[in-house]
Amino acid sequence: MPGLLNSVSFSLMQASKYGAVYVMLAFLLLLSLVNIPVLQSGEIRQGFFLIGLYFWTTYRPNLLPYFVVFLFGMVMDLISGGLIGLHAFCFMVLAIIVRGQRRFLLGQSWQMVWAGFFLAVALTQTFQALAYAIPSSHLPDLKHLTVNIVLAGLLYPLFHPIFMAYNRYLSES
Amino acid sequence: MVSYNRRMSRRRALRAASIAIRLSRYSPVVLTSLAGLLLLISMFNPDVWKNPRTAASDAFSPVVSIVGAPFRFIGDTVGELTGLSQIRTENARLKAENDQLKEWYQTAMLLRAENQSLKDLLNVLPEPEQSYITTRVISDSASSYVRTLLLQAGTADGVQEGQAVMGGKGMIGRVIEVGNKASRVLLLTDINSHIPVVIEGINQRAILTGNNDDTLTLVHLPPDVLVSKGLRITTSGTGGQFPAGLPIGEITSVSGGHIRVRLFSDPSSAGYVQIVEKPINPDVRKSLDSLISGPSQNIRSK
Repeated sequence: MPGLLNSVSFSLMQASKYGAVYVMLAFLLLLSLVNIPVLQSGEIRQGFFLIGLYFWTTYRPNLLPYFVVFLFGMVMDLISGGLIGLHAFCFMVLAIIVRGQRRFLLGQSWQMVWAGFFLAVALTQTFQALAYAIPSSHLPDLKHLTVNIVLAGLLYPLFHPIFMAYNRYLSES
Repeated sequence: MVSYNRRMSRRRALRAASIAIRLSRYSPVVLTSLAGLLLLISMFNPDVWKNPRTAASDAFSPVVSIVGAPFRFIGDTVGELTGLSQIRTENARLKAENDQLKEWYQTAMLLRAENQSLKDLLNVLPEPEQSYITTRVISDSASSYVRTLLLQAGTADGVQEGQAVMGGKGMIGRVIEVGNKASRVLLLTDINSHIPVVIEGINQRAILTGNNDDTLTLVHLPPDVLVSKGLRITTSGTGGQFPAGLPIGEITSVSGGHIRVRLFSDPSSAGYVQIVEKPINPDVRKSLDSLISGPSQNIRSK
């Protein structure tokens, strides 16, 4: 009986450790939607969730199956009030590309991983700008788009050490 | 028989595993295609997803509100701290403004009395009194291409679709989706926003459209109308959707037939907003009053 209890508590501990990654991602998703006085532009705040998605897809792809990525995208689409399927599509494309390149990324310095994140942000934001440009027949403001991409990319170093420390903790336990 | 059953169950397990492997192999393609399909439908018919979106906003609004609470607190605290140093200069400015307003108050009272007596002479039906629902902004659209706000009030609080939403100094948008506990506001700055307005001073009607940036454009103006910088824009009340006379903004530039308008109230910094309850037709209210008071009184009054 004590053996059974031990194994149950061990399983619960493991589940909570891995579950914390989902809690982090859900928090980052909600953070992208909250009106933060310093970060007025929504595109910059979207960087929060992209950081989580990019990091965990690179370092722990098994924790983020494609349907979970799709679900996060759909939730973001539904709450943000924008085009339904837009975030889901962008996140799916991003997850596919990052998974394809993860072997290369894992062998690189964190600065190179950061550079990869800039590309990921540029890809998603450009696609979003184009998706809104088609129905409205208005070309996106390139200067605005570039500033948003750069600022969202600059958020990455704030989260990378935290996620990396948690990733090490998961590996050790 | 037992060995046959075992073989069958093993075969079933193998088949299930092979389906799972195939699904996992094709799931990225299937899910990406599904997202792309949803996106295409949404681009050409956005209203299809109105109900699921409202339900999701309703369900997630308490969580979004909780996540945003620390940021609101920090924003308020920083605002208060930085405000302390400005209090002295603000106080002097307000005193001067108060003296001016006292003079305006006297003028306004005179005009009000004159207006009332003229209305009495013309037998004008009184304008219905306006009521407001004050609520908090809990999130926005997280995009420069969609300008919406999520409010922490819904049908349970009396919010209805189409109601005008006011910031601190003027109108900022209208309610487009209403859930039980949350509602979504389409800001005037959104490219899909088109509302009937009137230019004060020249009393010219026009349509105010958003551009997905900080300024708006006045369209559908006759070519011979002379418009100048600084003129105020208010709601015209045409169509009965909004009450007439709600302040919106002022004309900031007129060049090459393009008339740009800046809002009085910046929607991006709105922490709290006021939802204007729809105006009630005075005639309808009158008939309702007569119904409530009963037919006998109605006859007596005649």
